[in-house]
Amino acid sequence: MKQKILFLILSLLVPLNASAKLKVVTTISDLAALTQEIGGEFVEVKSIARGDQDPHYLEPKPSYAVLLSRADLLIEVGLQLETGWLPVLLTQSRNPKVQFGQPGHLSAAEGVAILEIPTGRIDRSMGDIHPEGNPHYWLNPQNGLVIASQIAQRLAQIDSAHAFDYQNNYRQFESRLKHKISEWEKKLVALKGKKIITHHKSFSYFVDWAGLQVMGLIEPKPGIPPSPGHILSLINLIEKEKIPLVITENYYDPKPSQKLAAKTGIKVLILPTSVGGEGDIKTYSELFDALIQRLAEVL
Amino acid sequence: MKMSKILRVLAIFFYCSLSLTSQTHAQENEVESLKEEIRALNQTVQKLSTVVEKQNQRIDELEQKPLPKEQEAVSPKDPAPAITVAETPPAETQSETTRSLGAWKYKAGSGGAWKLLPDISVIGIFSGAYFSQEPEEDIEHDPTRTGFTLQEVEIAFQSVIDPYVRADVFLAVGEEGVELEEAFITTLSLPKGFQVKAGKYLVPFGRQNQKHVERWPFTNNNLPNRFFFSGEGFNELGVEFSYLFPTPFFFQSQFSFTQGDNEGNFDGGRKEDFAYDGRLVGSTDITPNLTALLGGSVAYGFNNTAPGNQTLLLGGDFLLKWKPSRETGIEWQTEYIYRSLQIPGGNQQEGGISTYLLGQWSRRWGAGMRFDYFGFPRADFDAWRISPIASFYPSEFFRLRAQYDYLDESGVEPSHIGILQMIFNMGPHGAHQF
Repeated sequence: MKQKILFLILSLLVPLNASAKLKVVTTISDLAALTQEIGGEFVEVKSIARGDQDPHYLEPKPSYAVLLSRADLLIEVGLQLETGWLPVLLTQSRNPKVQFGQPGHLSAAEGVAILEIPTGRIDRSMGDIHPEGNPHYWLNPQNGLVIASQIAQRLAQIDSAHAFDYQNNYRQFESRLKHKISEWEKKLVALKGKKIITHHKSFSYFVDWAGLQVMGLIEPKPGIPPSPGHILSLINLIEKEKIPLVITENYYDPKPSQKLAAKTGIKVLILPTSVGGEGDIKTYSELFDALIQRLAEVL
Repeated sequence: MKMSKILRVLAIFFYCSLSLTSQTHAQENEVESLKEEIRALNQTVQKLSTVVEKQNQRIDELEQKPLPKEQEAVSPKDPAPAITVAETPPAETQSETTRSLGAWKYKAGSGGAWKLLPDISVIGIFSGAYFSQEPEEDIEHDPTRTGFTLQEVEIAFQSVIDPYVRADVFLAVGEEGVELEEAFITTLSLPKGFQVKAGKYLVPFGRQNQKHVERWPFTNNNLPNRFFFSGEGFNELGVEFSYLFPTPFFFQSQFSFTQGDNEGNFDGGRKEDFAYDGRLVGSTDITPNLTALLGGSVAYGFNNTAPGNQTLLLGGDFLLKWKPSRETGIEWQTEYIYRSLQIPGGNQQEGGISTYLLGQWSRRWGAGMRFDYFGFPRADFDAWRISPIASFYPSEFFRLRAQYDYLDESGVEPSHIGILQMIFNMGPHGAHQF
């Protein structure tokens, strides 16, 4: 009996990293999906935020510190998206490999053309703005190519034994995604110039790529819920501009959108912003398949 | 013979004139072709000059006109770069202006030395209160009189110092002046899950003691913490060693070796009167949205009732937090502290418990209830308090809370307390522990 108890205690103390796979932790599920495409069988990828969670606000749960403590590579969105919860987890993780500035810490924003970088004086009267620009850049598939390339380079750097595989996987992924992009862009021709309203600026990169026109936002300022006055101004805008659609991210309160729909008849689309945001979206491509299909159905 | 000579001379002359004529023709042809080539070259040079001129004009135009966003950085439609295994230097060593990524160039964020400044934030906590019976003692950080109280203005400086440590400094400005609340370094690069923290810090004894005033779940401190650690909390100079066990769930041990200055507990006068604190904490996610945390703490040292008199503190805490989204959640926390104080002529034992339930049902609204009981076991005094609270969050950086306390202390008439509190936060998002 004593031996069994001793074995149990020892087995708990032995790290569960017996496999030789490179352990990658990403802050959002889209980065995990892209890393899986590039890393293939040589990586074990876990995401901190699920696809149906708002990545701005996460509880820094102790289990996340455990994940980070065993990671060989951390990939974050950057641009202060995770600033409310990642720094404390990094300290708690005690993992020197994934600290900022180390090869095991990658900000996927490197190399991406960032939109909405505020200029001039900024303060919080403008809402919860991101001083370094809009961080939702993964929602343009062209940026997906840049992110994947960054991931491939970093994987090759820290796991040079499989550098060729990562390069090969990247080439294959690039070819597949470019093919998909050309398919999506053909479908989007019919949607070019369509007017929409969005909840938060999560879709800025998507609409920029898709050629949609964002006429207004449910949030008067980033992170600030709408006042009745703001809703009224949106109702007037919808009627004046004949806007057919309002989009809400599936982790935000849909009530303001539903209120607009009740008053004006505008269609409401509740959309995921990340892989895993809905049960059947398991890859980066499937996210855009879903977004474009759902938009095409209502616009 | 003469005739033959004449003929020979004529033949030679004829030959020479013929050859001269043909040479002249050849030279003329060559000159013509050279002229042609020169003309062609001139035309080519003129064409090239025109092209260069046009290109220069285009460059000037482009330089004067701001680039479209897509072209300013990487043009996503360009071919992707070849992946190389070349060493990518860490971000901070790269050029600030233009970084090269394979065949691509992109503009990096502009910046300068200000980027190396620490994160600076200021958090102000003010309250207005009503007491049916004015409290006799002034408890630091708690509203303690009818009227307005400056509970604290906290000024925080936080930064990574070098690849090995980070530092956090918190100044607390109160009604009686400025004091150093915490100033410590934390290692980032010790191997195998070890970490060292050193400086002045809130000792990891229980959960409430480690929280700054703005993170308190209610507008005032709970009764056990207030009675055992006074207003400043169990805050010591020292060094902490901690270890994250390689278990599938979060399991951490902490040990602190501290100066032993805490009033009433560890303020022994001898030079060897240090205080020692240990904590074990485990946490697991029962479901993706439900997290449980269990902790146990112990502190040992010497008090000032007589040389060598010992103090032993034991604590247990439990937290259950359900957080399905940013806008909704419930947390239930219970914390118990027991103290055994060696005093002249005996041993004083006392304990207290605090339990609360906090819920949030929308982005802006939350409410909760706390129950505190001090006197378990009872010494010469007991007290209990019940505190409902409502919270309103206009934004992430501004909170308003309204709390009612019903306080019943032994030997005193029960009192009714109403507190309205305002908390504002300047600066970057404050990342706080779970």
